[in-house]
Amino acid sequence: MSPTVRVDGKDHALDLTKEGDRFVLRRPGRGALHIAVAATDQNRLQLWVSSEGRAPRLFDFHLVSEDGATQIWCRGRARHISHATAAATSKGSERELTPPLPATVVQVLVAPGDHVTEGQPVLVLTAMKNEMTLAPAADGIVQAVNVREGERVSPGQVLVEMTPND
Amino acid sequence: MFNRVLVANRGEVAVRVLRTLREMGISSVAVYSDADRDAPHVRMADSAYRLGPSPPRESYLNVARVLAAARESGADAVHPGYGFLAENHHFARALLEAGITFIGPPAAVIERLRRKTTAREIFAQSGVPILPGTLDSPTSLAEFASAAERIGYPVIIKPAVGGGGKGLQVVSSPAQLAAGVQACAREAQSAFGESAIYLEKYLEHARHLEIQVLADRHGEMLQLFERECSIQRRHQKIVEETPSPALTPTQRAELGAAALRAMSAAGYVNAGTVEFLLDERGRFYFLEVNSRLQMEHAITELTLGVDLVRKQIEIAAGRPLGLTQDSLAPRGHAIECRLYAETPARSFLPSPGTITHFAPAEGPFVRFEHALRVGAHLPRDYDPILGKLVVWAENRPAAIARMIRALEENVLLGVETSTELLIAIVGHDRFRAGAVHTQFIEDELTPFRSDELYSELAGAAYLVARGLERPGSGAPRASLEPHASAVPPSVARRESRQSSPRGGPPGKKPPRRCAGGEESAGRPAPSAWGLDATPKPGAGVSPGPWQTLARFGRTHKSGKRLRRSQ
Repeated sequence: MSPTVRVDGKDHALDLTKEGDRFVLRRPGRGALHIAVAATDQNRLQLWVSSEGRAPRLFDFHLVSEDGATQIWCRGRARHISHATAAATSKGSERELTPPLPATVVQVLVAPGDHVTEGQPVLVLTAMKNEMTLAPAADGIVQAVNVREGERVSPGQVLVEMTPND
Repeated sequence: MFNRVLVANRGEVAVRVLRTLREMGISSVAVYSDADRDAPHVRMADSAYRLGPSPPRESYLNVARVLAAARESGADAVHPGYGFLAENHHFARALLEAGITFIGPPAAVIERLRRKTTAREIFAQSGVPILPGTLDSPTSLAEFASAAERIGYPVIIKPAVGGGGKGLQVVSSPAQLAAGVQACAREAQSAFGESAIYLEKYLEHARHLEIQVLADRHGEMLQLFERECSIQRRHQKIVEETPSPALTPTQRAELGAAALRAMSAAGYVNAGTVEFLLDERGRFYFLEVNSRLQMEHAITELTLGVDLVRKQIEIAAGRPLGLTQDSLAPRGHAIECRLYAETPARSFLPSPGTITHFAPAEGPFVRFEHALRVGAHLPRDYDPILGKLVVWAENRPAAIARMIRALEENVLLGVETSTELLIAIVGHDRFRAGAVHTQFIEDELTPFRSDELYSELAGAAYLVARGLERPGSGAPRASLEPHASAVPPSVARRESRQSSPRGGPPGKKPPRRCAGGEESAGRPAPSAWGLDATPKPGAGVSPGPWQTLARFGRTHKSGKRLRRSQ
């Protein structure tokens, strides 16, 4: 699933997946970024970032967390990061999918009876000009899809209901 | 030579002067306000004297207090730095009467030049073009109105004394004149204790150029060429460079000669700067004299190889300049960026606060002058300046690349800074082309928007960092441990040197406090990188992280996977 990270007050739905010991950040319409961890330190994270066909570039991130607020310095500025909306999603039941923030449904990717796996996109949403995908936290079978494309949805509203995959 | 010199200033300029004193083997004295009891400049001096409470009027601007400290410390000279008492003729005179040398021009010269209307007169008499404007300070709105009508709008209303861009009001129509005059007079009174103001023609899209002058007490006066300071915000310089990309050799010679002619007429001694505006048609006009060292002096030092603070001290001690005009040949290109604690996206609103993490820029030909450290509180009472970052390179494009690299390397958390804007300025196509003017930031970078890509990357870095510290999501790792699986040997060595032997426990991170002074990996400008650009021809064989490893004679699993995926 795409966690939503709030950077300087603006939500970014980040389609970041872990593949082996590296990461892929998929950006609709702008190509994917391949990310590998170069080194970590107490306050510092170095990542190699490359887009398709280009040499990786080393990025330095400096992190300071205090009282639950995180600042990450990236290229000339401290970005204020919070994870609040994503935390709300991850707390959600494994059987009910709800949007992390008020959004509009762009695409429904599953139908009742489908077997879905953890992290598989089932809905595409858009909010604040950002597109995000909604995916279950565990494998399961879709029981009901309660929304249609174009519908406006809010956090707490159950969009897709699932049962565990025994 | 002096035995003991008191530095009547704080912050990065005090630190700058104290370093030269140490190099010269002169005993140094710092002064401080209550807010600065523990400040770096205090720790750098051989002795330190308290001036008083934090507000400048009770400390750094208090002539009696600074004079008392100078007497008590046994200093035989005082260096004022820039700002505070640097252009205060009362202070220079009080020191003279106390038998203490003021490291700067004679009090009478400061007094003559500090009033801009007087300085304009001196320069006009020396045949230096001045902008049309009032010859003295009108006292009625009617006089301002008739002067503005005569000259033509837009005009600029300025305090007759003072600097730092304070109080300046650009007026583009008669309807705004009264408000501009009132605002300027009000600010002049509160900032400089004098409400005298005057009016000048306002040049749009002009360039700000200045000539550094050095003069000894034996009649020798030299010009140390120009600095271009056109990049300004709120009428205050934030990026300076030398040489100017605008001047032809003829213009350069003309400007230098004009500066020398007028400064000789003014009887100038020690280091000073003559400021000019250059209009779009290449004509120049005298603006004002700064009868002191300037913040941007460092770029001249780098292209000429002259320590201007040392020269100031030697001149004040009566030594001859020891330089000739012919011996001065600028070499290469130097750029300075002034770093402020402010938020460019919010009209440069100052951002006071406490520094929680600091990693200064370093590397070849990089000079970062600052008085910063982790835990330091930026006092509300003073200028939000954080420091000056200065680079030198063989030519202008190399200096720009180096400045961007240094700005990227410079990390400061806890306060907002102008670093990102500075990267955008220096990396801007029009800056690279040398096409700058005093409204550059307003025209090109207002409102200032940050690149979304870096917000995304910061968000991704946050998620990656959380993933790494959460046990159970992949192999748990100690937070200080390098990622042996993905790390090139060069990085691994560096990390292992910096890491404590045991590292932190996996999972919860300890409360974060930074170890400053780390080296960092900078890269050229965004345009040179262009993540979103189309791949270069032949990019199919471009190296990935795995090839970086291969260069070190290793192959790597994840690398192979990445290669397959492409």
